[in-house]
Amino acid sequence: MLTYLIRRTLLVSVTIWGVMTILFGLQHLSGDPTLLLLSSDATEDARRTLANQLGLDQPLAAQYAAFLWNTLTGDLGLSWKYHQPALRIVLEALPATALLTSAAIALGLAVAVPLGILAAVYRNSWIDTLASFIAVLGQSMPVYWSGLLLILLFSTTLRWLPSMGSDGAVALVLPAATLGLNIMARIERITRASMLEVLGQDFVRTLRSKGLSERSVLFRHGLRNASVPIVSMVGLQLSALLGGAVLIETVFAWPGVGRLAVNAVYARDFPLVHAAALVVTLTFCLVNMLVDVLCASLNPQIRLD
Amino acid sequence: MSGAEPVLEMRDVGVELAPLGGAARRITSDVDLALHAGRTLALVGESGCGKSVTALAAMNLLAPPLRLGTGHILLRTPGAAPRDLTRLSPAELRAARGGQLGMIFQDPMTALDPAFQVGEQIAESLRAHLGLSRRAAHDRAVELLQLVGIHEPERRVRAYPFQLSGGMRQRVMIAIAVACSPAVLIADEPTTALDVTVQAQILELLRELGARLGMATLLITHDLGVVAENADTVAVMYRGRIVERASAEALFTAPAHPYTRGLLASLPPLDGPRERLRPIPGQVPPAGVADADCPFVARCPEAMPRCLAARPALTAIAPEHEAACFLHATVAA
Ligand SMILES: Nc1ncnc2c1ncn2[C@@H]1O[C@H](COP(=O)(O)OP(=O)(O)OP(=O)(O)O)[C@@H](O)[C@H]1O
Ligand SMILES: [Mg+2]
Repeated sequence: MLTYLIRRTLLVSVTIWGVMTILFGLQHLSGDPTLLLLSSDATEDARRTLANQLGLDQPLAAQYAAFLWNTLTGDLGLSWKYHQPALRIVLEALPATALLTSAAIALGLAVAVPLGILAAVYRNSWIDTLASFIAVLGQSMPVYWSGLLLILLFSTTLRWLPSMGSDGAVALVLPAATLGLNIMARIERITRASMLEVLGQDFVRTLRSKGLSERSVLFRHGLRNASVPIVSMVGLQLSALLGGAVLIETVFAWPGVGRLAVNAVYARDFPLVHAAALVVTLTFCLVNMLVDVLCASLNPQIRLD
Repeated sequence: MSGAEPVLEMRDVGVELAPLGGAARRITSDVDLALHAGRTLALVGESGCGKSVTALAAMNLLAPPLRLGTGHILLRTPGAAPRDLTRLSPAELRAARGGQLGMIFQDPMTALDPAFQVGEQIAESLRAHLGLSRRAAHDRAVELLQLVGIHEPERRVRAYPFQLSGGMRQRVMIAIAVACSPAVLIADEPTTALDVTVQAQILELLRELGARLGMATLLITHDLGVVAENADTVAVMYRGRIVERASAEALFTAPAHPYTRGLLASLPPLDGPRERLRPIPGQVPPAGVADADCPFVARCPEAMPRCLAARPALTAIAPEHEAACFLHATVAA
């Protein structure tokens, strides 16, 4: 466990270093930011002053060293657009993304796992067909499309739910349902496949020979044995979504990290881009570690080292 | 055979293979077996003849594509009316399995749930059937591990299957099977997957438990040496049918069916190392039962014209000795 933590920490550091270095490189390839920040009729003097303030007049190596040091100390500077600490802006957007993500995952799990189990138990029956129909639908419809459809139906036509913003629980329903539908499809497929494999194993016959209830065979033993691929898939979805469900956040005007990051890129607000990248990378690594630990606790044969 | 009524009786059992979208095919037919308390019936025969599906049928545990085509399975336990396992509700069947019927499978490497501690796998049976509390079931699981000869049971109760050797896993499997003191124990090649020294220990354990708990045991095996040492009666199966049935003594001293004789002749010498059966010459039979002729006719050294014309029925040729062969038809008549 300790070796695992040490190894993982090293890996995370290297990952962050890599991501930040690439971003640093991109920033310097994308031209002089002072031209963007100042109006076109600004004087050369004003431009120099700004470059000096931003440290852009230093040699590249010095800039890079300062940049890495600032990353390490969590000081990514002020957003060029909002003139506030970039990291704080990102962290303030994080709860909205986390809320949307967890709601979507919870919704997806609640439907997909029972549906996947049913599809595996009654494979080739109408339940299985229905489940794969839903899965294909959920997976093949892009979220901006299904999102718009849901808005059309529930907001525009029926006027039951708001189509945008983040005020109150009702505003969460449509974006979470749109994302949930997409995630559900993937989780349902992997649950079905994993359960089918488990239910074909010899030990299931032993469980039945012990006279255990079907509920115990399927949920206690079956699901436990099938859980590692399911958890890994959930982890994958989770880390993808925590990085910001960009499309969904845009369609529903949801004030999350994804929308923030995209806008920062358009505005070439580099400190904000860096902060968003740092937060997303860290969450990604953290989720992966959590998944590893969870899988190890679900399957005693998986060792963390 | 013995005076008392059998604890478990299979009557006219036929198992079918019904693949999805395909035609059903019989793979065993007319199987009658009777298990008596405290006694062991051995079921022997070549690979693929239908021993395992018969064992599963005895538990009414066949799962698609296999299913019970014909027959009844009567369970007589003290203080209860005889019950037909094929007519029980799912809940009654669950109560019988693990409660009155225990089963041991061939491969202890795959028969245990890899994600649960072995103690828990024993304890959940106790909780389901005897209604023990978590605590009591755990304590009983430790006792059972001790009973099946596992050292340091307090420690091993928390082990996962992959942490145990094959022999130990089979002991755990036995502990699971006998946890609720079943009236019937069905052991499908319980030692085939183990090395020779461990085999002997496991068989010894089964003998001891059978005697101590008075269980009626069905012992499925390839190994006639195992039969000689463990069985009271023997049923020989060939291509899904019982072709000879006798007391172990009668079978070894006066085998009646040419197939049984072939099996005995293919045994390695008594003082030599014991190994798997050497095959009888001839084609390996296809799966499935035949009705028109004697199933063994193609390989039989004593085949007669009438063996091609009709199938001999299982008939008594001596007290407590039955065979399905026309060689003995005149004796019986
Ligand atoms: N699940 C199944 N699907 C398809 N065929 C099966 C299945 N189970 C058994 N069979 C077929 O039924 C026949 C009898 O199988 P069974 O497992 O009972 O043989 P066995 O006597 O136990 O052999 P072995 O000594 O190898 O264990 C075989 O021909 C086998 O191919
Ligand atoms: Mg078998």
